[in-house]
Amino acid sequence: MKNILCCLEQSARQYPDRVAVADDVSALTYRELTEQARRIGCCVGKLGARRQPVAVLLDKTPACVAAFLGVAYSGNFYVVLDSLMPADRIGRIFETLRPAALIADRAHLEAARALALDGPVIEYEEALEEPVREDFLAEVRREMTERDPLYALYTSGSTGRPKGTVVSHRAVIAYSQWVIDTFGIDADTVFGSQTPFYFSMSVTDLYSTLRTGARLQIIPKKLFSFPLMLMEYMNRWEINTIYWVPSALCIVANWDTFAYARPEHLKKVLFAGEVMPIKQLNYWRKNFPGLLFANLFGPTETTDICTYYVVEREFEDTETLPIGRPCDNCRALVLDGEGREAETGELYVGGPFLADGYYNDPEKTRAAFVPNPLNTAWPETLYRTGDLVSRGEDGNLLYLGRRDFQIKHMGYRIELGEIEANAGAAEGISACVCVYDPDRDLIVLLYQGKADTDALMARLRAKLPAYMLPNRLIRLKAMPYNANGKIDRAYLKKHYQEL
Amino acid sequence: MEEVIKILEEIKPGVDYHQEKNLFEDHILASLEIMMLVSELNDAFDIEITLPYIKPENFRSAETIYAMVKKVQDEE
Repeated sequence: MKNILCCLEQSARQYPDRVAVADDVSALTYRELTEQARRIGCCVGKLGARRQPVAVLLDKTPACVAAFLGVAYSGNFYVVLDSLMPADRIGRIFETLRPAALIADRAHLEAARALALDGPVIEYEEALEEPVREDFLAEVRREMTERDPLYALYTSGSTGRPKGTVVSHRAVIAYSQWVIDTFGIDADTVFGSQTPFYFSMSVTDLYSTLRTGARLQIIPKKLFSFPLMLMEYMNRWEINTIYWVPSALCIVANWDTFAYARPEHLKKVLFAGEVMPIKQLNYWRKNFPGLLFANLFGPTETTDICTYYVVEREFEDTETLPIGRPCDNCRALVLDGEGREAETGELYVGGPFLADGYYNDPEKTRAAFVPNPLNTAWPETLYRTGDLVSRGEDGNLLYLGRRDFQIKHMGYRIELGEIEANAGAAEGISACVCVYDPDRDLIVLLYQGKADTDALMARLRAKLPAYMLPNRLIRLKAMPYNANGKIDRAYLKKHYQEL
Repeated sequence: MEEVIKILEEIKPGVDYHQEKNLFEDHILASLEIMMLVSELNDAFDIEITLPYIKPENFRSAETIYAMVKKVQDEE
């Protein structure tokens, strides 16, 4: 199998009339999804572009999935744009991307035309009228290899210029195979999808579903404000598998949702994207002791994930959950500053899950995708994650923090994550974030919850050495979240003085 | 009622809360701001708004929010 579309077509042959992707108002069966994607592919194909980026501007809907796959049928790769993203950021993405075309539905057509774009705007509804040319689709398939890109995913770069990670068919095929084998995804899976399509976590939901004939049930974002409606939605569609950011799981826990309603069909709870606080994890586990809980870890540059840990024992509220061991078919190395294997160091990843680099950005690509320093015999690329990890006694990897989160304060090396883990376990804390202000040499802990600052400080004094104690405690009414649903650390770091 | 409006104006200024009848559907209040609002209401009125009250119809307007607060007060 060299192309992700082969997987889709196999599911369509086996389960033509089962729903592939649905939200609260629309649904596409495998037959319909394939048919739409082939028409869109033939429409995009008229441009004559191959292996070029095609931008997609649609809300998170079944139609958006059809557009992605349509781009793949045309022999090009898709780049999803956030429909709520400011035009200015899209403009900066287009500076390096220069897409061959942009696909938008009628609702976004005006916004699409307003963007500075060299290529044409293709209307989704019109593309669905395009007749299928079998010979064209066959020729594209024949010419493509598994190394061709399936998509490029833009993440924010620290310098302000977004980076487009280029991910191949092969990477998605290898990665989604691991997801399917490890978590038993099959045609009976109903995947409750929380993360936006412009976030790498959604790749897990989408492609493990499409390969197995499962159902991707998109959860409207609004429901995370109203947990009882969320439970009702999960029960209505019999959602049995979820892969959410911890912040979403914490909303459910912090409201004591299960005292009022329970997701009756749920079997598997996967999470990634930020550190899962143990207190809230324990709330879930206490209420659902029989479920599978797994902590997944990885960046966009390894398709989504490189290590994982299935929760198999009790954890104290103050402990941190391991990030576990490398996924099957993925290599993970811990290297020190000199490129030697170490017990504590930076995590490097190799193997077929790896992205190929950043689109039109050779400099950043060279800095992050590096030759394996332990192998001089043949060229082998590793991705430098920028994450600090250490190997625990049981062989599981522990996440210490971002390389850039490790701070030096009063001469001590400090992991902000350790302060967070201790604060987060305290009574009356429902969420917390620790940031460091290097200009003023201040450790600032921002938290949400009933606890007052004196009580929290007293607790931290009992748990942490003096040099690790935050210099400021700030109680927030609510944490700010970014577009992916994660706590917005960058915002807090920049604006804590105004809060 | 005026206290509710005062809190709303602090959370999101620039809206006529006397007139606005569809705070949530018109995207005036996002999910995060609802959490913030509940927390402020709990503090201001010394109440504990529990999950069953967290439904869209209670957050439609300043009026419905105030009605919810009174109901919680009555039940406590």
